[in-house]
Amino acid sequence: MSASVIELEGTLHQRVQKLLPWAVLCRLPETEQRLVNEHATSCAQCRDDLAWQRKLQAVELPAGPAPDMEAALARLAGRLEERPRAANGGWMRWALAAQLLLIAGLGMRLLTPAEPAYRLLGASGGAPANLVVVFKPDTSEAKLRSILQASGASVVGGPTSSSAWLLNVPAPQRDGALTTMRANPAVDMVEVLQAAP
Amino acid sequence: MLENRQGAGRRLREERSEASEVRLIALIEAGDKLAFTQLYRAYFPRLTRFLGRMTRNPGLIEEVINDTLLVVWQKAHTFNHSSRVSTWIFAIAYRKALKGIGALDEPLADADDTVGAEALEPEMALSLQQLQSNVALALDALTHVQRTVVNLAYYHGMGYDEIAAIMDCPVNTVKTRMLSARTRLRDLLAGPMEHAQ
Repeated sequence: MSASVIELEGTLHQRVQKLLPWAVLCRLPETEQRLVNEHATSCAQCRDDLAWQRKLQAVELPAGPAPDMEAALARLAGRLEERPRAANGGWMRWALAAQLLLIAGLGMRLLTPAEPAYRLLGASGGAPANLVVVFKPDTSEAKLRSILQASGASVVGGPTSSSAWLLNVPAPQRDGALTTMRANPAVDMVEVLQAAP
Repeated sequence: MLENRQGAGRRLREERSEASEVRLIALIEAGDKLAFTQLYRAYFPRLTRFLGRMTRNPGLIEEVINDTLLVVWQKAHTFNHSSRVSTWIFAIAYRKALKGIGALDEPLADADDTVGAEALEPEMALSLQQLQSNVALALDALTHVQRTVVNLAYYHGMGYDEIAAIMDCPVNTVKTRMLSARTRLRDLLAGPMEHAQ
């Protein structure tokens, strides 16, 4: 069994010494900033080091030889290619399509999730759903949020038994949101949802 | 002792910038080339400054930046929000730079004290330009890992956690490298900094 190396903080002074550069930058968590402030009131060396580092950090370095940005971007543009959407599994896609047709045809009143559809905090209240989306199973919550934010969509209901989410997007943005989400690899399927008659 | 108001104001600006970049990544994931161009133009100057301390070759700087942003274009769907967008992009750039430059743990310039004695004359009244040049020379005398930590902290304002993520090393290693770098810089710059305005 190999021995694990335990990093010792050393004395308080040594610990503070290591934190000084980020104290100058105001980049320390509050507890560490307080530690530095308190120690520095009684440590001339740390105060001197802080002053020296402020001077050093304020010196703007001369710019070296730099490439031309627009020329570089033009050269990169030729290397960008349309990314194919990831291939989807066969029968599940038809099952999802079938459920979405049912939802579109019968409207929200016939939506019957296996577990009760819970109301999300921040859901759009009385706004009707006009899009239904299914994300890939491994889509993280943070990724899902960023896709919704980028599309201007708010969640009205879901998830259903087949993991569909009901969204509301303001009418003028709906088609743009549809296009954006369809092009996103994390989106398995997105369709327009017709309001119940 | 140190202003936290300055830190709070900067944090607010950074949060807004981060939210904007997260949105761009989501759009890029959906294949939005305009969003990609916007992100490219935002990061090109920052990455040029960062890479300019690792190599003087503008062709290589462009190659690393383009390879980095190509990865962002192709792998936007893998960004999992566990770090800031800037940390993710700088980490890719750092790895690309190490491959491209074949960096070894050696100074960019001669590491002996002759650098200090000849180039950094304490008796001379230093112009700002001369001070900038002396600081740049002193940075070149550091090992590449020391220089990278100093660069990311002082000239890109990054915290030790972010630097650890970018350099793929423990936080304590970042702090130790910074302490060694500071000691070396202080030796090299004692005279010039004393006479600096």
